[in-house]
Amino acid sequence: MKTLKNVLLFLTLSVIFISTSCTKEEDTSKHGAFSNGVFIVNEGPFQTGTGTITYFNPDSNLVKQDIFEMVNGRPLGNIAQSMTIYNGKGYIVVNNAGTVEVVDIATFKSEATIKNLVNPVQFLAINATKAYVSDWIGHVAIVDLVSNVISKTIPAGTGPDAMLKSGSYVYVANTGGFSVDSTVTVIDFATDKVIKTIKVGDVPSAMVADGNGRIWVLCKGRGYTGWPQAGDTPGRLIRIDPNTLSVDFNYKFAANDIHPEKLVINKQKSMVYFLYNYGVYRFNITLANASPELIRSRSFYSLDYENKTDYLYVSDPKNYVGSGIVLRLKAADGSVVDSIPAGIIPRGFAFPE
Amino acid sequence: MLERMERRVVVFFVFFFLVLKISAQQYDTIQSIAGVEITADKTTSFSAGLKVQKIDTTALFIRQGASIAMLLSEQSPVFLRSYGPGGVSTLSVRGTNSSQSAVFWNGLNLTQPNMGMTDLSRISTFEFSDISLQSGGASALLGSGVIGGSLNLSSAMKFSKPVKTSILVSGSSIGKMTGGIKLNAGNSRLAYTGSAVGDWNQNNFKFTDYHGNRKRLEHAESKSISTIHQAEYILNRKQRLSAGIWFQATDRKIPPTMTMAASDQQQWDQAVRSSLQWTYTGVKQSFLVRSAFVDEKEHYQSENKLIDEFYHLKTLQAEFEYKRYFNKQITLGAGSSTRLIRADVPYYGGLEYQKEGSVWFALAYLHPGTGIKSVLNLRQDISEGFNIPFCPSFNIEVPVSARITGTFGVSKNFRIPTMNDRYWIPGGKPDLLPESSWNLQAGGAYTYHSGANIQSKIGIDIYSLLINNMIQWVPGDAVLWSPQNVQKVWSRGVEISSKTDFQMYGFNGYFRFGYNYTPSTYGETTSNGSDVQNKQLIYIPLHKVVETFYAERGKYYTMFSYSLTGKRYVQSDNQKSLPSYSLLDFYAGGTFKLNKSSFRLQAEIRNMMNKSYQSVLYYPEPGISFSINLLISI
Repeated sequence: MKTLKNVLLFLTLSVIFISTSCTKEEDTSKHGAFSNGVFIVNEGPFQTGTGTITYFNPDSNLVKQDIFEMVNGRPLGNIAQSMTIYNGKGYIVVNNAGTVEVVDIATFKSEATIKNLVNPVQFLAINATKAYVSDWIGHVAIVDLVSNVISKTIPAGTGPDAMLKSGSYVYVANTGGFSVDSTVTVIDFATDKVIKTIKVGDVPSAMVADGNGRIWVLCKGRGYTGWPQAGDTPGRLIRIDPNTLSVDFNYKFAANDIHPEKLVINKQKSMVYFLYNYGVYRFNITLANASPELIRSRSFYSLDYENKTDYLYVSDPKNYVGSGIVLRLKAADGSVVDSIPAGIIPRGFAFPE
Repeated sequence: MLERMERRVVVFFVFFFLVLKISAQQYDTIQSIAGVEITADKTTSFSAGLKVQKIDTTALFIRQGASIAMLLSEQSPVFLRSYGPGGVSTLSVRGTNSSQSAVFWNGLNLTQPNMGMTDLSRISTFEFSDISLQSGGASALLGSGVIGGSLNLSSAMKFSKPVKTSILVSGSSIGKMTGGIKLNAGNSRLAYTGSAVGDWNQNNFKFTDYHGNRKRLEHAESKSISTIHQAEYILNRKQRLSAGIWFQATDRKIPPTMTMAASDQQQWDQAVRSSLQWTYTGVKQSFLVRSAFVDEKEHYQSENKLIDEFYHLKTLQAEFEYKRYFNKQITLGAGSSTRLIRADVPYYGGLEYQKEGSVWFALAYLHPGTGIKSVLNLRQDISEGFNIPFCPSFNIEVPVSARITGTFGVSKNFRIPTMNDRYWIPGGKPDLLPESSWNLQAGGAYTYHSGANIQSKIGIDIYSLLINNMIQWVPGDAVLWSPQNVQKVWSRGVEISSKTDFQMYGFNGYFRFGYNYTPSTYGETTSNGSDVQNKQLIYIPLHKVVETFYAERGKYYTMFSYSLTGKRYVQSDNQKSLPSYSLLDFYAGGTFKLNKSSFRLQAEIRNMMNKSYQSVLYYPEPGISFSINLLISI
């Protein structure tokens, strides 16, 4: 009898004891002001994670991780893609969640969630009441910025990704999604109508406008760097004349199996930068016979440019399942300024307006 | 959080040992793998010293209709990585990942050659009478992928039994309906066992989302059917012929994670596995010849993600084994196997074939005076395209006294890369090295009897497992992901189990306890992730506890099943983790006889404490649910 009692006592005590085990960890962090900061968009782990936002204040070197969840008490969503700052608000595109989170840029408090997107990639503000969101499903969604609701969609090519507003038009690069597209869709944003589809190189993935309003399109080409396969095509840097909406410059990269990615332009609008052949390259667009010039030899995942400092921001995701880092490089010579700890797979950047 | 957890575990053990000292101990989880009959003579003869937990037949009887994944997570202190209802659930033994443990059915390795793992959420307990979990490296005996351990599924064949039929019907409050039928028949020469089970699961439950709203899990319905037929025929006194076929199909919608708005992903799988075996068992020698054919198809679709993929794999294998017995003390064995895999996977850029083969030698010695059993296994596998390390193992089992048994083992083990690792475009590397490991383990078991009423056994095992060349998909230059032999992992730990059977005051029952302490850390790496060294592997809990209390009196019985799963890191730099969770399940029922039939009616309450938890980050699991389960035996 004593033995049975002891067995039952043990069972009861251990169950009661362990059942009290789970208590939520206390969040002792306090909300801070996030003005004058740079925001780093971290994708988060591919299958099971959430994207995060890292805040970096260049003046004080203050870094705060995962500020969206810290302020709002919930995760951002699966695969954060990009962030755009417009009119004091941050618009964070979360691909797998099918949402754009709208936050107050000073407090990072969530103000709205734009829903009913499928695979959103980029957000582009047109004016105070209208924005475009490119969606890999094959269209550009029009968002009413007053109600934060999608009003309608504009058909594009396959895998629309980067968007650029210049003059009266919005240019949409159709990457092809998991396949290959080779076009740029031109939309008149006053009427929301497609006015032309321009044939460029394979997999157009990034665009910038120069001082004359000409559109520079970086096309990755078909294939993967370091993985030569039959049917690979070379990358191209293409220029579109905004008046004729036709290609007036076409630079072909030498190798078929090395593919350029990302594209930014400096504040003087004279030099573009991109990732290529395991390094950061620049290309002087004011010269007639320019060629890519290596400024930093190291493989990076993403690239952006800050006008205020003339710095390039590049990211190293390390092993892709732990925290990555962001490096700041001097655009002039590619030298490293400093390193900023980031979240999992740092992908994009948003600089103060 | 970790310190608090550890404190609780320490106090928990003080309770545990105090009670054990006063009461008694029962432990039946350390035993020979010999219980796994159909995994061929080889494992019966050459497995002394390995740690095997045979799932208790009572627990298996009560959990009829559950998935193997659920059964193991409740009854064993190993960790099951569950991607929520509707998602896959895979085994993690001794701090290793899902591809480093193998699942066998009648000696046939079920691991998918493309993925390198087996989904245990799709396999029903209803179709097997023997389920046993072997812990520790055993590649020299069982081949590739047995670095952490292995799971063995089989059904006993019974000759000269009258026809016996079992019918299972169950339903639960989350919309899970299960129906099954099982038939055993035989005469003096022929035995047959057949089963069919169907499962329709709506996964209809609510969870609290990150906006604080109660939300129903959407797009989570799954349907599955499985049927197994096995027959064994006695040709003469020494020869037997046996055959088995297993058809399995699953159609499931894949629900969104908590960080996704919606999902339109769905997956359809089908597998047909068949085997044919001839055995000759003489006084001095025995032979075994076996062939098997497996046909697996998978169709994965998502209109929104622009994905529509169809995989088709066929595997043909043949095995030969020979054993020679000397004076009932020495058994010598040798054998070989060959396997051909044909993979039609769109991302391989065309049909790919993989050819594998192996030769092995084994020596078992039983010392007649002391009862000491020792086994030496040697194995060399070959595969086109890369060298596989020679794998020896030595295990010994020492009966120290009538009550105490000790075991010790050392082994080298390996896992060949998956076909995805080798052929996936882009990134696949045909020249990857196999993973290899050294495993050192020691254990002890103590048996105690107090009259006829109390029987106890307690076992303690310790191990050290060092994995080299662990394969990880990592980004190379220019962000092209590619598998690399980059990682070393060191897993070591302590496993404690006990079982106490009691018979008193008209009650029969038992109390079972299991605890695994599993530090498993990243070692040196050659990839760009140096800040992970000495960090705990993701999704390997440091602590897991299971307890089961069962009691019966006359026709009625009840069972409580409790499990505690410790904190799991979700980032390799250990900066983010999921909290520990505990689950309590309750079962009560009665068995009633009518003529020659018996009816078992059982009520179940699962997750009684209504815990909100996630096994894997952002995959919600159900709260409290209720089930009714009827089992008719005719």
